[in-house]
Amino acid sequence: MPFILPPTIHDALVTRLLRRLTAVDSDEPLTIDFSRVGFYEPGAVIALLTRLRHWKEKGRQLSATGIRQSPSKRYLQRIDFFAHLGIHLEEDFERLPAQSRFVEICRIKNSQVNALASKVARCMASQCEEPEEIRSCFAYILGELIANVDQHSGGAGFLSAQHYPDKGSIHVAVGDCGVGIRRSFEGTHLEEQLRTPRAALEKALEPTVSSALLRPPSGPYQGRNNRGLGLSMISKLISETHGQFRLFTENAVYEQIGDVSFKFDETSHTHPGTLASLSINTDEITNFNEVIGEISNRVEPSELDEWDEMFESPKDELDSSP
Amino acid sequence: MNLTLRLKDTFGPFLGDGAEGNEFRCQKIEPFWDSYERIILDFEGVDSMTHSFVNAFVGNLVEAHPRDFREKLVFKNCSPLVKTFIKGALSFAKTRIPA
Repeated sequence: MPFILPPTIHDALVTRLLRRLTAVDSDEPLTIDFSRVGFYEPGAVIALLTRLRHWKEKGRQLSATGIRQSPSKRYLQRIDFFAHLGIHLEEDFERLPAQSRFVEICRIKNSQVNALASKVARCMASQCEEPEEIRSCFAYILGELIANVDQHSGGAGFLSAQHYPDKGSIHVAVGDCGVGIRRSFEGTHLEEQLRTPRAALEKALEPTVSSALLRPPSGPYQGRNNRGLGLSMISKLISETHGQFRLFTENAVYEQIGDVSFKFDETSHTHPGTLASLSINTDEITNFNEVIGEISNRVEPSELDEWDEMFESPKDELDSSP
Repeated sequence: MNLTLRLKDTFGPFLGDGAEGNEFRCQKIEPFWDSYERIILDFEGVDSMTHSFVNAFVGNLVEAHPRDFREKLVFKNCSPLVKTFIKGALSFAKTRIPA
């Protein structure tokens, strides 16, 4: 009996897809029927791709059917969805430039945070009215989310992004099937306290909390690589810009729409690892600097003027060695 | 004598990776901390960054050198956004320095 994928999955309803995927989670061979797949937003694309890759890597026998009949076959081919599953189909179309509407699905590997975040943000922002502000905002968000993949899955994850100019929004999703947030706290003093995925998820959203911060620095370079601000700052950014943010780890779900948020346990689905999906209304980002300044000051109120003497303008140039 | 480091030459216009920021600090700054009067971090061409990067880079420097970081470090050619990130990291790191 093939597993029939639903025709439409908006990011707001990714849980529906996760529920269906969880229902067929086993070691048994599975045929996935793509024939009805029409419109999938980035959160759904990454949820599906990471799950199928996870099954494949565990040795589950998978086969695909109905790809030719799928109304979105070309789109999925164009964003390299099938290629990332090892399904290589002949393309009956010419690969035209994405024209800033989407990026091909990116495989996240170690040490590519700067280049990948920068590239995707530049592409997503180029057709917006405030391209510099949007680019800075998305580079920031993607940089923090990719760094999270590095922390929770050893750097192996996937990223998808899509600009919907008609809706005035950009959607991005970053996901992995790594250890998830709860297990990333293992070996820290919070391990006992954070026994459930939901408790760990709530903790990870608090400012200045990170499993990396709770461990003694290790490796050749002493010092922390992460101060645990990323997810909480993204959440505040979403609140300021009236966007949407969803975070799934195992059976715990965080859902935020503007400044209203919910955290709950799902009984009928899990996502092995971590999946983050968010959307931002492009016309809400007119001054990213102001937004970052405001939310930074809310996290750690301070007199920022006290640091002014450490900054130098080009005309005050000092003697310097190369 | 001063040491000048141009961040864009190493990282490009976006500074996102905290691990790289920490590595850069350990390789390019810490060994020379006492050898130079001032260490000038030149952000010309840097558009933006993440909190992960700035806290791993600037925050760790402040924590490692709580007594003389103010006199030693100079941030140069910072855009308003970059300045906001750095000031936030300085404030955050200050709270972690034992009194």
